[in-house]
Amino acid sequence: MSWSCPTVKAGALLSAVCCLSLGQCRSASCYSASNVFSSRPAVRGLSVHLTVFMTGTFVELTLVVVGEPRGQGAVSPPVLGCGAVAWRERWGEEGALQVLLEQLASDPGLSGRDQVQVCCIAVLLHPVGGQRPRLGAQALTDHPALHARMEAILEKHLKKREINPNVRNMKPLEYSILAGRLSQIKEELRQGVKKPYQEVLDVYMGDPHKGGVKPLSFVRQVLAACLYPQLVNSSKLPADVRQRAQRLLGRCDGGSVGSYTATRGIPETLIRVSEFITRRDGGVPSNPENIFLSPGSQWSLSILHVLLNPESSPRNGVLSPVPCHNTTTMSVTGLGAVVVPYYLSEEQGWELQVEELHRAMESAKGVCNPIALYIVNPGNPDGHVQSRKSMQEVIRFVSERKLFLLADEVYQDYVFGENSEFVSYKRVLSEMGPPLSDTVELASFHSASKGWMGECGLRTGYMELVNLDPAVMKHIFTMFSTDTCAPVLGQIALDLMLNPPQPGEPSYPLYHMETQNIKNTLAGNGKRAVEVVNSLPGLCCQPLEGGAFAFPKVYLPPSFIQKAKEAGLEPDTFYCSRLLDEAGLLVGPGTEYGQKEGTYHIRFCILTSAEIMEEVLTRLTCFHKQFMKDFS
Amino acid sequence: MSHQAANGVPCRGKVLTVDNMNPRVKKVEYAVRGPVVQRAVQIEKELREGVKKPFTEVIKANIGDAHAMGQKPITFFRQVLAMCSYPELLKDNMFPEDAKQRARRILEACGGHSIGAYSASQGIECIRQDVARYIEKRDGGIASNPDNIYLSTGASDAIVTILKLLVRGEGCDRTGVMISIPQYPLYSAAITDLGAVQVHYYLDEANCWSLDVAELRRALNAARQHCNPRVLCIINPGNPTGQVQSRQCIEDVIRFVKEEHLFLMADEVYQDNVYAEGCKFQSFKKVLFEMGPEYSSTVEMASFHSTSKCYMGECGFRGGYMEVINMDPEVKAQLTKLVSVRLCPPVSGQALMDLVVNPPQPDEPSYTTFMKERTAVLAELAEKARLTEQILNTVPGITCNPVQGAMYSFPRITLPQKAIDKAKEAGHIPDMFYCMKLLEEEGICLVPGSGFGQREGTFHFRMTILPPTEKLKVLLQRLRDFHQRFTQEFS
Repeated sequence: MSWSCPTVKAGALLSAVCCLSLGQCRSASCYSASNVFSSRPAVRGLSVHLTVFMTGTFVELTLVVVGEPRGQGAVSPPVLGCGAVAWRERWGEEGALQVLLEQLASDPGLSGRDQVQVCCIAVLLHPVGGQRPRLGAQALTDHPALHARMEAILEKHLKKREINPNVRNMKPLEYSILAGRLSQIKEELRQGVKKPYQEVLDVYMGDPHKGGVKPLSFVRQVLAACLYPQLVNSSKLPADVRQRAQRLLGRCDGGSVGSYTATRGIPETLIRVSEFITRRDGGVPSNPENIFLSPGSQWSLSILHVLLNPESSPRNGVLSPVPCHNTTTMSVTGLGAVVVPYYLSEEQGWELQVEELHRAMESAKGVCNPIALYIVNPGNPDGHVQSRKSMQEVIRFVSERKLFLLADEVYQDYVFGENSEFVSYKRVLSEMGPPLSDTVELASFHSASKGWMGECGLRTGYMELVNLDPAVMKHIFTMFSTDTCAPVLGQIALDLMLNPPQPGEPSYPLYHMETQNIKNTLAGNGKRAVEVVNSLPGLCCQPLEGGAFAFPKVYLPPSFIQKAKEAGLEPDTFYCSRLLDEAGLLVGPGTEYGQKEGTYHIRFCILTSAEIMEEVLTRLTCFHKQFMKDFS
Repeated sequence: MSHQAANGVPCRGKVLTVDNMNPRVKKVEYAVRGPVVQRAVQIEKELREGVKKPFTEVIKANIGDAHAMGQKPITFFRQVLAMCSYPELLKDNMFPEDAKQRARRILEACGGHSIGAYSASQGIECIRQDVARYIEKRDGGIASNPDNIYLSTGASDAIVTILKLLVRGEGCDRTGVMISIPQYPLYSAAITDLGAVQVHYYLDEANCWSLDVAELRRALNAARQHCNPRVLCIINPGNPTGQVQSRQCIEDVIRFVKEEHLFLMADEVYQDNVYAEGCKFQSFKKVLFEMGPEYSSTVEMASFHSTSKCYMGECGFRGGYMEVINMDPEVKAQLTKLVSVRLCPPVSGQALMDLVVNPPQPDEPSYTTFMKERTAVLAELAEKARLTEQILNTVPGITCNPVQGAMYSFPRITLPQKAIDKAKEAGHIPDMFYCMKLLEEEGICLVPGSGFGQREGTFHFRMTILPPTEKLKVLLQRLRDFHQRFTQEFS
C-alpha cells in the first residue's frame, strides 16, 4: 500500500471520490481507487484505496481519509473518518457514499481552505478464514505522526465494532437462515401468492401451544384470577381456582403479581418444588434452600458461569452430547469454555455409552480441562430415555473423573416408550449411597415450558443444586440476585404444574381429561411419526422413548449435497429450506444439533395436536417422495 | 482434593470450590439485595414467629418495587392480560371493548394464539412495531425502526446483554465501562462479572447530582492508562440520585461520546418519573437526532426501558425493551444471535410492554379510568418526592438533594467519628453499620450508600419514596428519631 501527499483542491478530491462507480464496487472484492484516478490526470498522484469487502449477504464499504491542512494555525491534521457501514444501513450504499461526501465537503479542514494537503489512507479489510475482516494499517509505519493518528481513527471508527470474541465464537444458528425464508413466505402468503399450502406449519421448536396443543384450563384460570383479582370473587371461575389464586396472591408482596419476589423465587413455591421433588424421587429429601427459580432453564445454566473460570489456562471444558439442543453449547462457548463432544449411539437408539465418555475425556487432553458433564435425559433431540444402569455408570464416571454433573431433565414427564421410565439423577445418586451420594455435585433442571401445561412463553424453570460447597452457594445466590427474580406468572404456573388439582376438587375432572388427552396424543404422535418416517425411503428414525422430538436420519444423495454446497448451505439445512419452500413445513436441520460427520438428520416436535402431527407427516411424505425422485 | 474414605472407597473433594470457581463471580456484589436486605427477611420471619421487636413490621424501602408497597395495578393492563391468559373471558361482557380488542390483537400475534408459545428471540414483531411507534411519538416524530427494537426480560437483561456484547480485550486493552458514582449496582456487578473495568465518574452532589463533562473527561483520561474505555453508561432520571438531566447536559454528553467514540448506554427506565418544576425528560435519542446528521448518523447507542417503573410499576412481569441506534449491521447480527441463547423474553411481559406503549386512546372506553389511575400514581409520587426531601432536610446531620425524578432519595448522612471507628473495629463499612442498626432498632430497611459508590469519606443511604404517604411519614419520623439517637450515642 502506498500513500502520497500531493497538493489538490478539496473540490478535486470530492470529484475524484464521486467518480467511483458503485456498480464497479459491487462487483469487486477489492478495489483500488488509484486505478480510477489514474485515468483522470487532474488528480494524478493522489492515492486512494477503497476496499469493498463482500461478506455473504452484504458489502462493507469503508474509506478513511486523512486531510492535512497547510499554512499557519494548523495545529493537528483534521481528520475525516467514515464508517460508511452504519450509513449504508440507513440509506443504502449510495446514500452512504453521499453522507461520506457531505462530511468531506463540510469539514473545515478541507472546504474552508483553498489548499489542502491530502493524504488518503486506505483501511484494508482482510477476510480471514470466514471470520470478520481484520484491519491493516501496516503501510502507515513510514509516517509516524500520521500512524499514531491513524491508529486513533481505526480505534474510533472501526475497532469498536470488535465485539466480545466469545460471543462471536458462538455458532450461528441455522435457524436464522430458515427464519428469514419463513418470514418471506409468510409475507408472500399474505399478499396472496399461490403456494401448495395455505399456511406454514412450524414444528422447529418444542413448543406445544404453537403446535396446536391447548393450554390447561385450570392453569390459565388461576393465572387470570391472579392477574385480575376481581375474578377471585366472581362466580365465573371454579371455587378451587379462586381459592388457589387467592392463596398464591397472598404469597406475593402487596398481593400483586407485579411485585418482585425473593431472588430464588417465592419462598412457598420453593417449598412446593422441594416437596414435588421428594415425592417424585420416592422420598429422597430436597432442601428448598438449594432450589433456584429462573426465567427458563437456559438462565439456570448460568450455573456454568460459576463453574467456568474464564481466566483459567488451559480453558475449561464441558462434555456435551452430540446431538444436543443448541442453546447449551452456545452458552458454553459464550462463556469462553470449550465444548467437548461425546456421541450418542444412534444405532443403539441414541444410547449413552460410558466408553464414549472416556474417549471424549481423552480427546480433551491438551485442549482443555473438562470440569462438567452435561446430560439431557430424556434426550433432546434424540428421544432416548436413560436406564437406571446407564445413569449409575455416568455417576461413577463423573465421580472418578471429578466432573460436575449437569442433568437437563426438562422432559421428565414425556416418557412413553413401553419399557421406559424416567428416574431422576438425584434419585439414582441417592440410591447409590455414600460416598457417592454425598460427594457428587449435581445441578438438575426442570421447566414450566414442559410438563403437560407446556407454558414456554412464561419463561420459568428451576434448578436444584445437590452437594454444593456452602461457600460457593453464597456466590451463586449473589449472582442470581443480579437477575432480580424469575417472572412471577411463570413462578405461579410452575407451582400449579407441580401441584395440580386433586381428585375431589371441582377442577380435577377437566384437568385430568386435558392432561390425559395430551399424554395420549404425545404417545400416539411418537408412534405415528416413527411409523410414517420409517416407511419413507432414505429416512430412518430410532424408536422414540420420550422427549418432544423425532430426530430421523436422512439420506441425502451426492447430487443434492453438491447442490447444497453450491448454495452455500449445509446439506440438511438445504433440505429443510426446500421442505419449507415446497411443502410449507419448518423443521430443524441436524447440523443445528450436531451429528456424526457424513450423516444428516432433521428434528421436529411431536408434542402437537394429533391433526397437526398428521398434517406434518403428510407434508413430509409428499415432499420427501418427490425429493427422492428428483435426486436419484 | 481427593482423599481416602474410611472404608477404602476412593472419595473425592468438591469439584467446585471457592478456590477454583470463576474468580469474577466471587467479586460480584449486589447491595440492593445485599446483607441488610437479607437480614430484613430474617427479621420478618422472626416477627412471624412471635419474636418481640421494638416494631411490628419491617418497612422495606430498599427496592423500587411499587406494588409491594401497595400501589395498585393499572386496571386496563390487567384486564387485557387476564384475557390473554384465559381467552374464554373474551366471551364475557365484564371487560370493556378496547381491552378485548387489545387482547385479541396480542393473541393473534402469538404462536398458536397462546401467550404460552415461544416468541421470536427479539420479541413479537407487532409489539416491536408498537414500541417503535411509541418512541416516534415520544420523540416528536423522529423515526424509529422496529428492527432496532429488542424486547427483553426486564431492562437488566438488555443492559447485561449489551455489555456482554461489547466487552473484550486483555490487560491494558480490556474494555472500560464508564459508570457514574453513585451508580446502580447492576452495572458494577455486570462489569465485574464480565471481567471488564469500571471507570468511575463522579456526579456533583453539591449541584443536585448533576453530571459534568469535564469530570467525564478526567475519568476517561485517567482510565486510558490502564484500560480501553469503550462504553459510557448514563442513568436518566438518575438511580439512586434522582436527578433529571438538562438538555444542555445531554447535548454535552453526546458531543463527548462522539468525540471519544464511546458506545452510549442510556438507561431511561424512569422516563415518566419526573416531578420537579422545570425538569423534563428528554430522551438521548431525541436530542441526538436534533443535533443533526453529524451526530445522528454516527453515535452508537442503546436506550433501555422497562415495565417495572414509571406509573405501572409491574416489576414481576420482567418486561422491557432496548432500542439500538447506529449499530453496525454485522454487530447487530451478533446481538440477535446472543439473545437467541435464552430463546425469548417472557411473553406476558412482552404483552404488558405492548400495553404500556399503546395505552387507551381518548376515544376509547377505558381512557378515562386509565388516565385517572396514571395521573393519581404520578401525582402521589411527586408529593412523596417533595415530602421526603423536605422532612429529611429538617434532620440535623442529614442533607438531601431534591428528588427531581425516579423513585429514590440518596441523602448524605454525617456520622460521628466514634461511630465510624466502632464500625471499622467490627469490620463494617460505616454506612452499612448505620443501616443495620436502623433495621434492628426501627425495622426500616434501606440500602447503604457504599453499595452504590460515593466519594471517599462521605456516607449516604438510598431509600425509595414508594411507601404509601402515611407510612412514608412514619418512616421518615422514625428515621429522624433514630438519626438523632445514633448521633447522641456516638458523640
